[in-house]
Amino acid sequence: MMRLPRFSYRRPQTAAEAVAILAASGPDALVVAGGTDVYPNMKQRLLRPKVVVALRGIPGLGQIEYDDRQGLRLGSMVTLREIAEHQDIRRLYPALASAAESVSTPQLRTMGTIGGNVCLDTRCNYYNQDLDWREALGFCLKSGGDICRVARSSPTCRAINCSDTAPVLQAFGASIVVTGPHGERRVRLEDFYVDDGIQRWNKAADEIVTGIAVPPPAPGTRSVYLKLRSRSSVDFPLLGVALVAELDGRGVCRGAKMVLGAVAPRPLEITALAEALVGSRLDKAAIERAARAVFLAGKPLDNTIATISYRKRMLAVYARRAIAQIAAAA
Amino acid sequence: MSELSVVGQRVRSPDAYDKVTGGKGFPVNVRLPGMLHGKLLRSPYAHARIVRIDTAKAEKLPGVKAVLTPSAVPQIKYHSVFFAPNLDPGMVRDMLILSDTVRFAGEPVAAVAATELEIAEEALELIDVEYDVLPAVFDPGEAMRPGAPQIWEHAPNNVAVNLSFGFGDVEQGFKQADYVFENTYQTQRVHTCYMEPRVCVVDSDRQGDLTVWSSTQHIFGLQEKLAFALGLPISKVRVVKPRYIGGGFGGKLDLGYIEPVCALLSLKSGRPVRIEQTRYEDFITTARHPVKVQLRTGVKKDGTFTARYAKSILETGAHATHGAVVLPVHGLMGFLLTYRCPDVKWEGCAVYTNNMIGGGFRGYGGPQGAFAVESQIDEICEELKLDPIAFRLKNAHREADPHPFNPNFTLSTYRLDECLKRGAQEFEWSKRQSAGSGSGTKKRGIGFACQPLWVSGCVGFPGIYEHSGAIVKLNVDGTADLSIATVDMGCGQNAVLSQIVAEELGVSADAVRIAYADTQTVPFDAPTHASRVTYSAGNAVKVAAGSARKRLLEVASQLFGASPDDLEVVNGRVRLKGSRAKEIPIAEVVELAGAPALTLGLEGNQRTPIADKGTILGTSSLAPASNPSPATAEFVEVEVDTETGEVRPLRALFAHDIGRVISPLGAEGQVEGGFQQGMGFALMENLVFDSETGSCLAGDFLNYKIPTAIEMPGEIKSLFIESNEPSGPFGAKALAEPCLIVPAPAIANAIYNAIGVRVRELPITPEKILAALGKL
Ligand SMILES: Cc1cc2nc3c(=O)[nH]c(=O)nc-3n(C[C@H](O)[C@H](O)[C@H](O)COP(=O)(O)OP(=O)(O)OC[C@H]3O[C@@H](n4cnc5c(N)ncnc54)[C@H](O)[C@@H]3O)c2cc1C
Ligand code: SF4
Repeated sequence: MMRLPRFSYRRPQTAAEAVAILAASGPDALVVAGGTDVYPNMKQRLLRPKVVVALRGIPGLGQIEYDDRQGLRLGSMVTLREIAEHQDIRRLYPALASAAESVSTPQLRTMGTIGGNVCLDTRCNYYNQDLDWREALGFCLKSGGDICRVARSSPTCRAINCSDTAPVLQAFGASIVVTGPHGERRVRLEDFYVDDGIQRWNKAADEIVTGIAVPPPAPGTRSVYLKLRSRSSVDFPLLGVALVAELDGRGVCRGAKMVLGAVAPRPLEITALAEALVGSRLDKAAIERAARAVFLAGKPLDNTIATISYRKRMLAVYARRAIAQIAAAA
Repeated sequence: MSELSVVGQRVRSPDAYDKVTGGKGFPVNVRLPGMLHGKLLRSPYAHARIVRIDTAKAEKLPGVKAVLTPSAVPQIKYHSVFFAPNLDPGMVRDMLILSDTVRFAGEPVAAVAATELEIAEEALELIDVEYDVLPAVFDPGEAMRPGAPQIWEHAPNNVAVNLSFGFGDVEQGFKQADYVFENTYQTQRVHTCYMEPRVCVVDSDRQGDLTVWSSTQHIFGLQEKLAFALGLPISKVRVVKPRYIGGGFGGKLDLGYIEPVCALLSLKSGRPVRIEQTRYEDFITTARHPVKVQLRTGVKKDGTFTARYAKSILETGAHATHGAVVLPVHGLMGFLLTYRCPDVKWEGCAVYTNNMIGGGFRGYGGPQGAFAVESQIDEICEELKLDPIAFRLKNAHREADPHPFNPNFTLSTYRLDECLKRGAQEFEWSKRQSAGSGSGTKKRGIGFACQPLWVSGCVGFPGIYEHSGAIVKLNVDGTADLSIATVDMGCGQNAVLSQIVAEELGVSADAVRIAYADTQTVPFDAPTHASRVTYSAGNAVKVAAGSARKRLLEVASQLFGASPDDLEVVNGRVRLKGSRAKEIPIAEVVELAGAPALTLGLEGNQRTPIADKGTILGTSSLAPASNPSPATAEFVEVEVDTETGEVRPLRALFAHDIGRVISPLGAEGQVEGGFQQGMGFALMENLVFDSETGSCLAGDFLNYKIPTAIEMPGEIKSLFIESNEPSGPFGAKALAEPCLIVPAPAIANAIYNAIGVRVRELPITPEKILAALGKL
């Protein structure tokens, strides 16, 4: 890692002003929230923005609001620590609190924001490395070269989305509030992300994320987030499994959504999951059907420190454990 | 032994407060007026010849004050290891400060000094280097094959050092065996992860004399190696002793690139120059050598060894440096001498590759040996249905045996048996189940391992410095200054040495202060390494303090009108032995000894009661007379998740004959820190390099998986078996290294006990466990 390169630092007072600076600066500008992803990437010379636009000075982006009709509304500058500690979130969206709590380290959670976490850059073994090595090996698609080292025949980058909160938010049916030159729009998480490690999301360069809206949980909702990683602190996920399910009074599953993190350039929803679980009491056979669906859907590539075969195998193990936890809580 | 009042007390480290409030004494905090910031340009290629370096643009960058390329650097080949003399024939001299050939990715090729760090970095990007890239080899097995790229002319087949030791006749021994076991064990490259980076500031004056501040484990070694590499007489280099450094663990036991480069940049610019390595640079500066150990072991039915043979292939990386010494230490202490056996043979070689240079690391070849030996003993016991504790005791050395390394010494204190028996009892070893017998997905297992033989220094080993010296000076306020070259690298050496001085003088621990020092003002001391400070430097400070006390009592005898032999010092006061009738504080004696000989009183000039004036002090410079062996056993319980392969150490107990415990707080810290390092070695740490380019892929703490506080077991107990070593200061022996040598085999054995499968390659990752269970 090197020292930060030179850049000019802007600190707008309103969202509109931020958007205007971004529009005027074009691709040379970059938004920074907590900076826990941006600055290390700049020190590795993965990013070299000329203008850094900090959202810190914009009032009102740090709010957490909840009511039973609207659900949860998070300003984009809410920190991961605030989410992990918030009583309503811990009670109603426990998977979100535990996902936030699982991110990196206490220091970084105090700085890191939810907006930054959903906009976290994709990661890959061959990309998140010092300049020297990338230079010696030859650059890949994501760093300006013309080949993907992970999937040589792939026309697009397959770097993975490692956000811990994104799969959970998607499983809860959340939307992202985006503010741009034409005002505010809401986009559901599944439509926000794209399956491309370079493009990453449907968001113009002059749009910023100002908030996240999560619908109120239906009665009987239970949620869990399980994270596979090398150590119980610091590390990015090698696999994230978010599961939100509704169980009726008799323990029968009425709805289920599972979204995986760290297997694809976007959070990966297991579409066959509802079929496997809904109508069952989350018994052994249902769990095995679901685990099989997850195992078939997840196709990890060689872009983390764990081997492909290990991550593939863990898909089923973690899926089983997630469902079993929900069943046990019922 | 008479009662001790300071030794054995839980005294606080004298620098603890200083460290938690900013640590002014860390070399990383040294700043000088006019100081420049240096930066090294490092090769992206693992093996290349430099055709041309163009620095013109960099030199023109405003703020750049000096640029250094190989052509402006003395081309004197040196070996970098501090504890061996420059010309020691056992060492390989293959280092150059900067040369026209690079042999690992990250080897420096040029350097700049500028007024700001950012400018220095920018200047590096302006240096244009043309490389002639050469074929590289990263695997020691491949490196030894015919036709492999040759890294050094002096080393055909890339073999840097070839050694063999043994006694008896192993082939005969194998014939007498009932069973012969053959297994191969492999360890990986790990880093010491000291917290304070390697950092130095070097200043020069108009006579070309150099002053060096550095985060180093040895000021005299740095002085000697730096002077040699620069072609200067040793008197031109002065190294300032750091008050303490932020860890070393063997990783700061050799001359790096930064000190000579800063020296040359300072001579060129006339200003002090500082280089602080980034964490990435630290990761490619020093590491534990990967070793492949092939064991062949013959035993009788009852578990008695009849023959032991081992062959070790150690990867030394691009330069031999420590590899030339780690290899024999590994062979002797890690294998050959560990247990009694009539016929033993060891062969080993250190092999060059285009990977980073291996370095010193706590245990110095021991952990690689212990992982192999202690794993295999458990494998043998499992196969022959023998009790692993009884097996080891049957083959262990005994107290009062001749020292297996040096028959001039005896194992005067040696309590491995007590370590094993008491450790087993406290750990409830008897409740251990048979291997893999647990049910459920998470299975528990317990295991243990020994390090039967180790050192309390290096006395008796050829080619390694081992003397220490000290000056103890008494002050008029009753305190004592201890001047010594020993660097405290975080293990609490300052506390231990102060306690020894305090005990010997009869004062409290906080009355002893460690003096500021440099290579000009204190006697030579061998490095802080080899578990030697408490024993070896401890003996030197004890002698110096003893001679200061002797002088004190001679002076005081004039006040008591008694023989010095009839006096004693208790709680900082001199008195007649056993009598409290008259007590004179040390402060008063010291003051009277230094007061003017004549004082003017009302009745005219009066003589003060002490005739011979002077400062009360004592000095020493000596090597201890022996090298007693500590003995170590560690018990561990783990839980293995058989679905994910994850291993969680639950509790550990460390039983160690360390002689007398001088500082219990410091000793427990050694055990706990050692377990953390040993557990990282066992389960997760791995300094991974790209197999295509040879670049380090674990250059930060995100990618280098060192255990965090959460991974640590809930309980680590230290059980110190206090023998009373006659040759040690107040009966002390050594502790530091074995704490890290035993965890890996103990954990490996516990994992086996949990799941019934054996992993012979470190680190034992979840993937390897699942593969061993046939699930991957
Ligand atoms: C050692 C380490 C470990 C980590 N471990 C994890 C982990 O386990 N799990 C995990 O999820 N993350 C991890 N992270 C990444 C990071 O800390 C978190 O994702 C954090 O939430 C990022 O938030 P931030 O506010 O710091 O983002 P920033 O660094 O400020 O920004 C991140 C990205 O989002 C963009 N961005 C930020 N806010 C907005 C906005 N409002 N509108 C539009 N774009 C925006 C930025 O331009 C940038 O591309 C780790 C980081 C480090 C250094
Ligand atoms: S997935 Fe391919 S293109 Fe994307 S970062 Fe990795 S190697 Fe580069």
